[in-house]
Amino acid sequence: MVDNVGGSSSNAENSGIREQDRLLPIANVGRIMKQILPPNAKISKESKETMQECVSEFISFVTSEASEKCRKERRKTVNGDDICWALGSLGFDDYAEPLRRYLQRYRELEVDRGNSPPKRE
Amino acid sequence: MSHIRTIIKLEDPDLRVSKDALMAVNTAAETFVEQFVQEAYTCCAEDRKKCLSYDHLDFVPERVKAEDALRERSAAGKGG
Repeated sequence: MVDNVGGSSSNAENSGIREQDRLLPIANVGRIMKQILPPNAKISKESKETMQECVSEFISFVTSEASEKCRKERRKTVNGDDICWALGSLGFDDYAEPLRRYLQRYRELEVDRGNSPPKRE
Repeated sequence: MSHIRTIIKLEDPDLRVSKDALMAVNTAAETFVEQFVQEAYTCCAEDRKKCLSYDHLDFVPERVKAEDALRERSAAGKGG
């Protein structure tokens, strides 16, 4: 059997976590893939599974960078700004700016609903 | 979003994640998939272009010389 390379995979194996718990649901990933492709495009099961692995790795990659920033700043909670910073820091600059604007709108909506967004520690 | 929280907790069980951080990760992950798939599809389309030749496409009309086509066209024009 081929060894899985990557932090999240080995963590999952060691702690007895089920395979589907460390991956996003294949139906959700498939739906996003389908939305972006032309209607006549076909997506193989293998490509959906590969995408599942990639996106989980991406989430771990970004989160660990944000978490490291919080650790250095002696904060216990990762917030949206930390995620935006991590994206920029890891070279996903084209994600970071639109995401900042999106977060701003999200927070405004939360305030309107009466749920004040979490404050920085 | 609970799945995203689970993936994050696998990386660091003690880490606390705010609601807007989850929202940010969720949106970034979605953008990542979209961009990845877009580029993969471009590669796929380019690859198919290399593999297909004129003769494979049975719905494409047979090759015709330009002069023959023009001759036929002018003849049809006169006849109409």
